[in-house]
Amino acid sequence: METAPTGFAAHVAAEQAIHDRMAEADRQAAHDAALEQLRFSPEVQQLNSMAEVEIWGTHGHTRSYHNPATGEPLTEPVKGLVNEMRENRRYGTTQAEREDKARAYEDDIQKLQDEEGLELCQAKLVMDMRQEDDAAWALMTGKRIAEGKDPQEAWTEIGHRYMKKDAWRLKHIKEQGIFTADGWAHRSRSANPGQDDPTAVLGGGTVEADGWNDAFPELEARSRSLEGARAEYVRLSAGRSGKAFRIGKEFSEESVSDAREQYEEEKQELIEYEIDMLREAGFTDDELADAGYVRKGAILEANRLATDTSIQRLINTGKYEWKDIHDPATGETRHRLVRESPPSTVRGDIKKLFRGWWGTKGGDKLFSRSNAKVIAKRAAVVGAIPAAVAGAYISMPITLGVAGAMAANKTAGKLLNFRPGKRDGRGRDELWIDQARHESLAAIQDLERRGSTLADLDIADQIDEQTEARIAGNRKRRAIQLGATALGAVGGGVGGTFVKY
Amino acid sequence: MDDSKLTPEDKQLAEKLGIAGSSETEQAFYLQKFQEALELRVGMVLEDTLSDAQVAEFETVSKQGGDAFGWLKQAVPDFDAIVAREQAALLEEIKQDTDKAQAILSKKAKGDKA
Repeated sequence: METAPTGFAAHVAAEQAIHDRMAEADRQAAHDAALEQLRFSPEVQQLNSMAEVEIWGTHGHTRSYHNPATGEPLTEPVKGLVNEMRENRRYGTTQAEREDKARAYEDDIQKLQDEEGLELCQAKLVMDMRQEDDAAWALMTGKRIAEGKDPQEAWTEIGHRYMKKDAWRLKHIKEQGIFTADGWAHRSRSANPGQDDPTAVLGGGTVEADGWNDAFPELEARSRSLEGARAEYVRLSAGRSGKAFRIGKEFSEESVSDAREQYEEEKQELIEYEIDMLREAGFTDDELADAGYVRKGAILEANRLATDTSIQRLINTGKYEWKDIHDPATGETRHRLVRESPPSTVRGDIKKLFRGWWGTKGGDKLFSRSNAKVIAKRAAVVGAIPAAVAGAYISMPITLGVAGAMAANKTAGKLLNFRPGKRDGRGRDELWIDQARHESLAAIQDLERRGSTLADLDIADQIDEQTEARIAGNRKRRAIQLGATALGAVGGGVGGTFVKY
Repeated sequence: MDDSKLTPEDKQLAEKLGIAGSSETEQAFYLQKFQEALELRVGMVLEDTLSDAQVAEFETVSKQGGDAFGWLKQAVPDFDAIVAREQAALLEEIKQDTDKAQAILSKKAKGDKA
């Protein structure tokens, strides 16, 4: 067993520690000085000029504008990204939407400069990377859904990773003085990038994998494990509560308690793993605490637990049945959980029920977003719905295209035997109900807010553009459709939170 | 002028959740997640509270465009208390998870120093 040094050894160790700290302080001071010098160098100022033209253009003329790279006068005016956002329908179907996106972009650029202390060219670099992230995010979500992953889960989980990645990348860009895409590529290839020579990061190269993705498989496996533990806990606890109270050893208090313990253990292990992962990525403990990752993770987990429990209780009523329903509009067969008696009227009911409740114009002001008790009131109305009209929105069409994976006549009782954690492709059905619920609620919210229709969302177009060259044949068509379904609803439901452009 | 998209109530809740330091878009996302969880939890309590006949009546009132919320307030007299209790419980659960994670962080930090 290793023991702490004593006597002379302790003295040597202390000396060494002091020496190391001084060396580290010197190195950091030299690095900071070099970085500061670089920020005010002609090269970086030139990069800033280029970024300015790329973002805001040349205001319709070429007078007094020169190509920053060559020094030659510009022969054609440059529109600039912000103006492009205001004019191109790719960024929004209405002028107001496009203006919002352009304004949001400018705000983000400003924020990166003011709050993060970035140069304009660095802020532009971060925004470019976020744009790539959004495209990859949409693509990955579409792929995961095509593979059978629950759309809501896929969207949230992948999104969470990209947010973490964004923070991690921002930290390196700032601390290592990275000003260009090539500089970032150089950093990505280097084992100890830019630590000693900030100017080195201005070198050339192409973007390569940065190693972050390497962490995904393990994280994915651990998330699945937690999902399985949560599902089991939910199954047993929901069986002991609600109107469909179940008796027997399987649903005993002891079983529920054991399942809860297992779930808590799995949760703790996942948190621990994520913390290790982020620390390895260079985050300090203070930064991790400040960024609030653990709090956000806890919120998401609370959401999943509540959703899964609600769904399980609904299934426990035994009033619902899985059915494969052919949709003549798309030609696809969809797997839906429907209430048999009385039959639900699906979309029409939802619109009727929800119209005005979330509306900001007209409708019931009690449910307006600015009402102080909005949460309570929404909770009241929506809360009563699981028993009253859940069948309506649960049987909303979900274009998952995996009907073949399920038999046509599954009952709620049979579903109780499924374990989502096993990932055999069948237990996922339970989670799809979650998707249906979120999709429906979010879609209505979106409709109310926009006074428009889901078809107006431009997200599908964006996904289509980004995936056009990457996915072939039917798989492409399906992925785009699935991604659009999920992203359109979920993205809209959170106010387009993650679709910045 | 405050051009924030978050209401004062949103901001207050974000403070309680410990996410007020994040961007508004991130806050909006996590507030939405919190709200969904709360809706479901309250819904499950109400489901237990109401009889089948009451649920059917609620459904009828809703579908006929009646005052569903008024009906609910009348049918569940301690409705406000239920919401307050569930909100407090949810906040507490999130806090407990957060505390656990902070404990893990502290433990690892100490381990690094040792």
